Amino acid sequence: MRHTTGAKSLNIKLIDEPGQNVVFLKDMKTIEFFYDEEFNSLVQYYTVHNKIQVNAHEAIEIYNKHYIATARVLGIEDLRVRVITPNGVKEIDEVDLKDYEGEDKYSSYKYFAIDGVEIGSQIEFIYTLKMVPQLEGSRELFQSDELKLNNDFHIYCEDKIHFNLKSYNGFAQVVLDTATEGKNHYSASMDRIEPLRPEPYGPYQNSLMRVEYKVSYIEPANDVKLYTYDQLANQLNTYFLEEISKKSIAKLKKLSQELKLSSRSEEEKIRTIEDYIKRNISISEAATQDPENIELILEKKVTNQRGVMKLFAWLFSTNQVDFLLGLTSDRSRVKMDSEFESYNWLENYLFYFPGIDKYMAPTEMLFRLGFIPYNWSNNYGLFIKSVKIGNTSAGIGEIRFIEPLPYDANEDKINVNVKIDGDFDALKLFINREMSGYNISFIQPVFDLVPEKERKMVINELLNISDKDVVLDEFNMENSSLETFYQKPLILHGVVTTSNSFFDKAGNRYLLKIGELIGNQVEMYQEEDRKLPVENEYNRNYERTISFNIPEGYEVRNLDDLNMDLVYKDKDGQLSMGFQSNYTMAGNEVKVTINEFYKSLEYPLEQFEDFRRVINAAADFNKKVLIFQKG
Amino acid sequence: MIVRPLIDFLNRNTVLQKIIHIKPILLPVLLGCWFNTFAQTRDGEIGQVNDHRENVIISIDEAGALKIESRISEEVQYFNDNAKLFGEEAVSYSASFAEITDMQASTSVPTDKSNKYKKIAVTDFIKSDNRSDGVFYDDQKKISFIFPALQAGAITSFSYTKKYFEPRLWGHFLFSSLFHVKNCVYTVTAPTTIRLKYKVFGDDKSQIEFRQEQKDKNTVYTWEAHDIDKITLPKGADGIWHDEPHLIIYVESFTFNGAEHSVLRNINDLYTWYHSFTKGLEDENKDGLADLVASIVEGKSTEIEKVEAIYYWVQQNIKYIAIEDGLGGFKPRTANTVFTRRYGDCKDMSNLLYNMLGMANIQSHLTWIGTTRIPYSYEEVPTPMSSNHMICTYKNDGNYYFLDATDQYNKLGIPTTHIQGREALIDMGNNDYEIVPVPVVSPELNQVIDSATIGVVNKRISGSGKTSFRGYNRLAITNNLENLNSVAKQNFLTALLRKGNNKFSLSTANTEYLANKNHDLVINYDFTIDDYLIQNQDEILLNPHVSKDLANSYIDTSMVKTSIYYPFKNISANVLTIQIPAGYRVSYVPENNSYAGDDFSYKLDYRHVGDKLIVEQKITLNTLKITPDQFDEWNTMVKGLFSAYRESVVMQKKH
Repeated sequence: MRHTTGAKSLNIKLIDEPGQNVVFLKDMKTIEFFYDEEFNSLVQYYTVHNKIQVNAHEAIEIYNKHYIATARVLGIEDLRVRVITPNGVKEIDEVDLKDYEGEDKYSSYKYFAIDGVEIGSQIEFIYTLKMVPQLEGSRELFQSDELKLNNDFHIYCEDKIHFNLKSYNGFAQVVLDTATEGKNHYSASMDRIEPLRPEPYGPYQNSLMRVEYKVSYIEPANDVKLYTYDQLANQLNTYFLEEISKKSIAKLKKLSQELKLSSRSEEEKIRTIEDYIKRNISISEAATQDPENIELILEKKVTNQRGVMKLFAWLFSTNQVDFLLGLTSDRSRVKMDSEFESYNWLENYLFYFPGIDKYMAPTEMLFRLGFIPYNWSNNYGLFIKSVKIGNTSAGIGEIRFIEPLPYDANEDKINVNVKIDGDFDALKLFINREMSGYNISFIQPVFDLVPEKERKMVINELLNISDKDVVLDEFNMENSSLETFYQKPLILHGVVTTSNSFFDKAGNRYLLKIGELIGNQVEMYQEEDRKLPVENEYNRNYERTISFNIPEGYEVRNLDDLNMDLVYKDKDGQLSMGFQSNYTMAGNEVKVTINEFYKSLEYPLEQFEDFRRVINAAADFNKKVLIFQKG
Repeated sequence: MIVRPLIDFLNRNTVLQKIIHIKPILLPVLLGCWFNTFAQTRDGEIGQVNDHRENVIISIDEAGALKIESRISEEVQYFNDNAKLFGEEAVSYSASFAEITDMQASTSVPTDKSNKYKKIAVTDFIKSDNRSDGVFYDDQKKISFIFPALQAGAITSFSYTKKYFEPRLWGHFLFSSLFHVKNCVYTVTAPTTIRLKYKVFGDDKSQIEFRQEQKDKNTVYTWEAHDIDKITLPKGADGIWHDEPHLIIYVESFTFNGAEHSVLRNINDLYTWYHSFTKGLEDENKDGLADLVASIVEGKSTEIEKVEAIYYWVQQNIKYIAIEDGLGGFKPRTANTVFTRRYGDCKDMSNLLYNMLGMANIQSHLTWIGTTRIPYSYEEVPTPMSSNHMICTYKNDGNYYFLDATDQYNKLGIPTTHIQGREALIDMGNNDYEIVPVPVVSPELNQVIDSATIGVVNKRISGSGKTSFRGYNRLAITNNLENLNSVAKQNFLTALLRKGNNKFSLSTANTEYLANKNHDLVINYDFTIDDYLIQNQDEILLNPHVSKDLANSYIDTSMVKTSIYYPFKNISANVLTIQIPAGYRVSYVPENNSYAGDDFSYKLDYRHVGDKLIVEQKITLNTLKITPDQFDEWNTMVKGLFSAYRESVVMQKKH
């Protein structure tokens, strides 16, 4: 049960920040490290102090509940909550803490609702958790999409413990204060942090103000750096390549024979192994019974991420495939800083094959050799090579930059031939589309799932006819199955008849909506005060051709409307992005060629307007209409 | 909300569960086409339910209490390797009302020898909490496990026993599934001293065979079905209870030691049970609340005004947070608790309203109701299956006011959208109740009228307009306008008022009556549209259908097989006045066009008045549901509209 004491008389000052539904009046995170007798190890007190003013109904609904993830929590030492309203302060004497027990500790949390919140209230809570520390690398995020005042970050520890810390995106530098006898106190604070909101094509999460920190060394062992990449390289090497049972080795050999690996080239071996594992083995962190036992994995076909890594590593080494085991971050959340050593970047597994210079994402079902999730590229990674030393082996780590794939790896080509029937009684469209690379990562693997007759929706979408009144007369598709996943482009052919779409009427004139034939294009027409640079998901190239015959007796006088030319060069004078459209006419036949490309993932803020113009050029083309009138 | 019976219903159907447990990474891909991957055709099918059965045994123990125990089993066969996606399985239940035991699961994997399978048993079952969507805290638990070695040809089977602690919450079975169902059997074995009542619901009940046999002192009731088509859900899960074949069964009464004990014989029994949760909810001290009520009604002369003021206060100040802990799922918290906390769920808000009105000396009534996702009347199904919601009813001069504070922006006198057309079970006091139908709000009361005047300057359209939003149409808009930050609000308004193409740009927008629920919400605005009109030598071509409502609503009858549901009846009217540019005359105007049906209609009129051309477009939806037999008629209307939208006006330069 909760109780609220009577309101205390207090002169409450509400903060007036016009246009802000929420203002954080305080955000303090304090981490204090100490040696705990009971756990016989270093543990931390983690204290959060927040004061949040809510100025709108929706804001109340968001902030009148609070959730505490309990993955590393050993106990809640202190929890105090109060609500400050214009009428007084309501202390909540006993917080009704609810427990959510998830399938594993990472999905478990404790939470509570906050009583008595009204518009204009300030919600204030402070709590201290006793936790297993994350000494190998940790992060505190301070900026959000709300205005935040009085931001403080503190670490307290014994003076023999030394941390590496780094502030990002303009957050105050962390300073060390050794004035207190026997204590190190690291701190950073900022009185005011402006809200940062997500922007299209902007690396939002990675641009937020934050601190990364990691323990460096503990005196007196000043030379023994802790949690280094070298140590990790050795540990992972041992973990994934440590001896496995004879039975497991026999099973691996049998599988290798079944997959006919010995007769294949290195790249074929890798593809065959990858395809076998991704098609047959499920990955679930809820797999609990000896999940990393290779013999059991091959029988039950269920394992966790580590188990699947181990299976890959052993299949590769059994079949003499040279590989580096890698780890990296997802740059849509946070980009790995090659200058700052921390295990916190290392959240996704990958492999690099030096023999063929390609990467692979072993745990990602929608990706295949050469195509790792694009947000893992244009990023650094830690890569570990296993080196034989006598009878044992050691892991050697190195930082590599994972280059993004070039623009022509991700192509989308559309070719539409328009046949005008009779006196505009109907249009017949002969549509061909060819897509490659990341453009098909969300189509090819799923297409197998969709029963024959139900593919209509996907097909309509791909032929750009989903909202149109059309009849699909013919359709076929090549390379739609997983066998050709990423290796061959997905090819679609469709023949469509319509007497109601893609052309309008105005008296005796017909208006061919040629721009709609390339499908809806993204627009960025609304001008807003841009804060973030551009970082695309992947480089890409679009080529479209549209051809048609002008029927006997008609003329089209506005063909020149189709000419567009907008290209930009990078600092080396190379074309970096553009949208170009032009036409040729031979007799009655008109052929329109359109090309749009982005050869660079990143464009600085100064180039944002250029980027916007190219994006909008494609959207402008959507509006192109040709007027057919009797000559 | 008292949603428990429906949650259990969903939880029982294991394949339905899977749509919730699909790996997040696949979601963006599958969102569009997921439901349709389970269509009636057999080619490319992922799997089928070979056998789904539930055997219920009811008995009366020595103390005279009903015991209901059910053994549930399901066997699914997979046809291709995508089976792997269906490995994660979970059974959920309410820990306060049921217990799950003896769970067994395994996969049978085909071997090299024909017709020989190797069975791999599941060894790990993980029990965890399972908070329902939109609920802050409840007692839902789930037991999860992974089927190993799923592949083409694999057969999974699993079974468990479920014991019901509360007999009133037992009794439903869905025959269909998201896979084709080969065999499906539901049996109930009960002594003849127990009287059961049952009914099969759904669009097509013809495949379900029923038989009743006598075995010693027991009666065995059996429902059996074969080759049930899978569920296609292009329009969300709400339709399941209306369309899909399912059984509702419950205990009316039983005889023990010669005496008859009633359970759910009729609405009165249901009312009596519900009433047991709302009795005696008195607060010890509610002075603070009484003071508040006094200040709210101060200066209000009529009772209606007082009701309105109190209703609006609760809507405005009490936030929706649902806590469903055991019988707490049925029992409201006291008025003072909810007032102090400033949050509660539907029953908490209803009880607060009831108490606050009482303090103002106004009689009101706690009311149980089922939302529109429930298809049964109380007469048909006098069980908790018929309700999932609570409101407060106020009666004035024979008129009923259904007060539902869970929607912050709803106005007095109009029911919330999700209870329209449903039955209210109203507690009249003195152990008496009334069943009153909640009206469906007429389309006129939800109309949106947009009037805009446009002119042409160079090749740009510029104009000003006014849109008024009435009834349900103003709810979501009010919510957005009150809560969005300035950038998001501008984007929202641009999308809301957009005309012509996406180069529509809003220069100003002013809102009136945002806080006045009793008035239409009005937005006055100025705008420009680029690249929309076509200048062709000495003529201007202009498509006057700048808002193409319903243009994309063609129903593909090869894919959609069940009714389509709408949250409310609606009128959408657009009046566009085109100022003909000086020096131009109108040389072509399309013909007027209309379609008139009982449930849906449109009207498109062109009028030439002086130097103005007025284009009026009005679309009426006068139903909450379009049934499959109406699809052709609907498509005829949409095609007509689509065709009319293609016609442009021509303005010619005068010579």
